[in-house]
Amino acid sequence: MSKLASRRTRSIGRVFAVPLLLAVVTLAGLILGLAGDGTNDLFSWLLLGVPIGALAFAWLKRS
Amino acid sequence: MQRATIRIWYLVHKWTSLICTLFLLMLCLTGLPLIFHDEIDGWLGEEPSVMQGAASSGDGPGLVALDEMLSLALAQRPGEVPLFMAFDNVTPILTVTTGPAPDAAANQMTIQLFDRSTGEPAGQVVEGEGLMGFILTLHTDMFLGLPGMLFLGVMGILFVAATISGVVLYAPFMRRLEFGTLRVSRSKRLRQLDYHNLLGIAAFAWIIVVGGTGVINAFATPLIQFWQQGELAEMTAAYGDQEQLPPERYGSLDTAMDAARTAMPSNNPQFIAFPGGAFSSKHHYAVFMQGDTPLTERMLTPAMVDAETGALTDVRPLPWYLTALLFSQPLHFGDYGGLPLKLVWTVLTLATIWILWTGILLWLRRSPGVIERRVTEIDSGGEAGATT
Repeated sequence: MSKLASRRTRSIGRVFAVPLLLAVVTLAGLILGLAGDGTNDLFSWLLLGVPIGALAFAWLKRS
Repeated sequence: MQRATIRIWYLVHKWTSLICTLFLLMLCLTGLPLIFHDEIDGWLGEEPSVMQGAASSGDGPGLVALDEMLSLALAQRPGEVPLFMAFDNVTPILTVTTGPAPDAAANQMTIQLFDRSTGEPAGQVVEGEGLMGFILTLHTDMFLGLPGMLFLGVMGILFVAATISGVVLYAPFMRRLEFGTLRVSRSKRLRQLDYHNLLGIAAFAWIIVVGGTGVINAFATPLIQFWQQGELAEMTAAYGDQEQLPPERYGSLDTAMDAARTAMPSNNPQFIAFPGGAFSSKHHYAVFMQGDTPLTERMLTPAMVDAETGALTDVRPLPWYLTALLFSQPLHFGDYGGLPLKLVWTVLTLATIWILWTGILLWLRRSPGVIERRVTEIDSGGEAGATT
């Protein structure tokens, strides 16, 4: 427990910083795709790839 | 977060999840093939071949008159009445739905496909047939009709509540952990906890959107009824309680379309609902006009045209709750951005299945004990109480 207690706890803002970013990116991707074709779709795919990329990154760093 | 607060959210998460999980697993598993509905229908040969020519929703030269298209369709189904005529913005494909009566149920309807540039028939669709029809019915109402749809809608509400409570519990769990922490080599339970948390938080915006729009779709029938009995009845109030207009007195569709186009000159129709069905009054052709930009294309404005005389009665955009329903369909199906978007839907559906599955395992394999032990586990980021 001593190791655990010594580790600093993070604020709510820190805990949710990345999740909030992923949520904003996801919503932007979903809406952008709906608003038009062509370039819009391309950006939509890129944005929606971000949460999936985050999962892949976490999986590569698994311990 | 106080232990008492964690305890409340844990109980909300546990019970909302437990009630809906098995139905959600079914919805995810049937939803996966439905993402590729069009492609699978194509392989099975159940999809009409792509037509070349002017879009059927237009009014330019090279398109057969609507009255002629309708009589071609009715000649194929003697004794039936027209229910819907629908248009396409890219190809000349035009569909005519017929049934035994103006208020026929969906399972009695026949949809015929035509090429509006030639007037040639291009096949027939019977709703709910084939493998994909079976999967779609299972996904929509589990073969239980409206009660089944509403039940799955309630399961969807619980799922959204489970997702939100899960996001709340992410806060105490992750207080001492970096985003993306995956401890896979210490214990089975810790590994499941970390996967459950990571997948859940990475996919949660998508899950809320697809879950929430699924709920709206599940309540489509009462929403449309509410509109028909409210705003639509107001638009056609002058007709009062008159009896259903008999189909033999239906007037020209082309005259009705002209009236609708005059009211909304820069817009094209998406579909016409015939008198007596769920989308019109007993006396009107409801010509649903679409917006003229990619975004507003999905927003419909019904032009109510007297089906006997072809004179316009009223035009009014759909209320917000039906606009929400119209946007809920693409956002739920993921069919609006080509194959890459469908692949995103696939990956995130698989992630959702994994979240549901690890959720079940975490509940089944919990060490016996009081709720307090679970609260401690969440509060410590899985470090305490995760020894099994």
